[in-house]
Amino acid sequence: MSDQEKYVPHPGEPAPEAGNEQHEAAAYGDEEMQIVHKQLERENGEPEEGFTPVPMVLMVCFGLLFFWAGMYFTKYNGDFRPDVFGTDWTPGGNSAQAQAPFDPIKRGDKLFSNNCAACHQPDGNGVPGAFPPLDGSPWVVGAPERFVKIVMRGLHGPVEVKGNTFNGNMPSYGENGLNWDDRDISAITTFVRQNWSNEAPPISEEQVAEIRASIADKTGAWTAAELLALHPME
Amino acid sequence: MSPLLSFFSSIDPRPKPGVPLKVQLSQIDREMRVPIVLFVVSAILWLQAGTVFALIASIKLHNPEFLGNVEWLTFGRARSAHLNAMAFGWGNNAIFAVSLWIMARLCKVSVKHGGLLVVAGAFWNVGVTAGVIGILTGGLTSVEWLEMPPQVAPLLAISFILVAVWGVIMFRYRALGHVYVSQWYILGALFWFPWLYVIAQTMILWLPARGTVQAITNWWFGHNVLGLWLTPMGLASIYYFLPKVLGRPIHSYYLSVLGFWSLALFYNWAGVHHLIGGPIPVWLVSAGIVGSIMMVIPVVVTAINHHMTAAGNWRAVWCSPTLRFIVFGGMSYTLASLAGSAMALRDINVITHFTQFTVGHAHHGVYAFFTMTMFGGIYFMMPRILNREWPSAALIRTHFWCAAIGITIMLVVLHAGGWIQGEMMTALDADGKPKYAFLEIVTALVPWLFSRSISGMLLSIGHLAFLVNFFWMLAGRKGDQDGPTLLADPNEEDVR
Amino acid sequence: MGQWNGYLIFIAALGCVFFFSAIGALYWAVRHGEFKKLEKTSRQIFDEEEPEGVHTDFFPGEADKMRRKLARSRKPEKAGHHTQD
Repeated sequence: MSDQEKYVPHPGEPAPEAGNEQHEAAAYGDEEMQIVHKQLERENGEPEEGFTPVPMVLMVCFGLLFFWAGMYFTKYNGDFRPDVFGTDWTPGGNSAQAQAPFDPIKRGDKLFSNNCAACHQPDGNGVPGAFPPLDGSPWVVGAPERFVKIVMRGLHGPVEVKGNTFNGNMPSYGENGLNWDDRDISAITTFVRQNWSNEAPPISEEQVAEIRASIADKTGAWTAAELLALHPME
Repeated sequence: MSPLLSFFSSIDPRPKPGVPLKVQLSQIDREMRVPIVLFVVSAILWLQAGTVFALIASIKLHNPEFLGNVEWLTFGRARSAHLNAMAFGWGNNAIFAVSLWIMARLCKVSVKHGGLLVVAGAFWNVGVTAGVIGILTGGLTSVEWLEMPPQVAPLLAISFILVAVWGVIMFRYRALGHVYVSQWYILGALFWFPWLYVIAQTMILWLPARGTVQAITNWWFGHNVLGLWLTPMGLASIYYFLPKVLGRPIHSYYLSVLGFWSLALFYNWAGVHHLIGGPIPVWLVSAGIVGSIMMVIPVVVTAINHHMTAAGNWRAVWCSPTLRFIVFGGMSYTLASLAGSAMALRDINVITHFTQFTVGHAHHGVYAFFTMTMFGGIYFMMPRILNREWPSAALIRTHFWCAAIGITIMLVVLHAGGWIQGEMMTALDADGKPKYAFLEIVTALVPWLFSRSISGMLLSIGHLAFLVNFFWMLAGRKGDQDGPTLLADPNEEDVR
Repeated sequence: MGQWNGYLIFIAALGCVFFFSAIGALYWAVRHGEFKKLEKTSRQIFDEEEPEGVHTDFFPGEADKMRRKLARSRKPEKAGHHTQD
């Protein structure tokens, strides 16, 4: 065998079929090559076909997979609407979902867990010496104006609740803070006034809107003294 | 002849007619030596840097005060630096080296003007270095997988194209008529990656789309970097090295072609499953889930092919450093992909999303599969490129065992810890309120995260062994030359 | 919604380009006979330096030892094949 006889065809001309076989044959037959390369051990060419068709079982499994894909996509495509985000959407059931009644307690619960519970604690008892309790606090269950005003502007400085004095800062959820709308403020205040042992009447969106208008000029957080001057403790 | 024409004819990499095949092959290896050594050296150095960032980030998760006063190494920066150093530093450099070499081998052509490749590769590394420094100094973006400051993107894009174009040129001038499956994967990935990168850069950072479109593009990109860049390159290496080293053709070539085309068809959809439960149109999420599940087809097909090829040859696999890594990678590909498909299902995703489980899965794919195959490829390629043997078998064994044991521990603890974390986060008490406070969940995770750091240290030892062995080899120590690991024996012509 | 649609059209257009280039590649592959003689293609990776049937990678310095080991473990299987050559 000599290397000079072999050549690699250029892509322009059709690849001669024989070329590859010849070169494989050389690899098998040439004793000299074995010595040169010290290829003492050889596992011979597999007689099996490289073309193994896809096993039938596998084809059936793939078929089932395609079937599942079709079913799944038909069920959860939300009619290809850009405004459908959940899997619980069903065609026609949409209008009922959109008009689900607003539940201030449910909404307030969620707002409380995410915004208030870290300081005032999930049980509403606050942290002694740091954060005042909400459960049974006259600031909460008393005059609605006082409570809503605190939520809308925050509170700083000493405040006395149930015989203990707390000195801290509560952030604002009104225009100079998180800017919640009337509905959310009515939901959070109603929830806090009716949760745990509190049994005060709810605060409506209209009440919140009224109070919001009345303190439009107020900037910065309240102090307890300011609020008590406006709304003395009952 | 015009200068332009003569340039084009000078990049024609075909060998002169009549040159014996053996001489052609050693010529290919010789001509690719400089660029490939550059890529492998930078890949290994990035691997070490990425490992250091990984350890820092990992330790901070259970000991937050560790390096707590170093502004450059806060958790957010160290983690992003780790990801980018590994993905774009180690991953891409290793890919450039291994895939271009496989391409040259299979096309039986070589790189002409290898100097240009070196320049492009140098710019790539300059770009990644600038990007990682940008991340450490606080210039990072908030987009996962694209944290590098946007200013380096054009540099990376241009140098990538300058590197990748050589792969395309080689393919254009390939010698044999048929395209081997590794060539399909490499060629596909060389087009997919710039496409993904440029679209994602444009739509998220340069001309930002609004709202959730950014999130969709982000996960389309992030997941496709794994699926349409790292995965095809890993598979191309397995499809080349596994049959090559065993000396027997792949079990079913037909299945491998089927695997390639079904990957190309389905993977593109899969990324959206990262946004299950997010405020994006539900049909898009469902399409992502279906695409992820349909990935079972290419995965099963590839798995049958790899495992049936290796089956019955386990002793041979064990005797070859290359195949130890490659077969480990192939098995991990099967497991990681099936787990990935399962994780796309809504019911499972609810638990695994936003937990360490996802982190474990990412390492399953990128380390246990992709990185291991690249290690294997480098072990096969370097003796042929440098005409030298690896100096130490013990160091190779150290590398293999540290990597294999380290990544196995990491996967076990991250998957188990992540699942527990997910169950705790979704557990509700009788009132429908979360059962566990966030801090309780954080505390429960500490032992798992601590074990992860331990596994990371094992991996670092393996990487160091790899580094030492490689630079030892580069420094020119001649090992025992007793096997066919050496391609062109300098004395060969005399013997004959 | 307006912004959304503009981008959707952009993505859709690019997606189509991508999709049709994939179809084109598939068409080229079929026409070029890439799906024929698959068995032969699978053997394309072997060459005279590293031919089919030969194990080509060992731990450095252990090639001879391991080759002998492999030979022993393969003996029975081997005999049958040799007669076919």
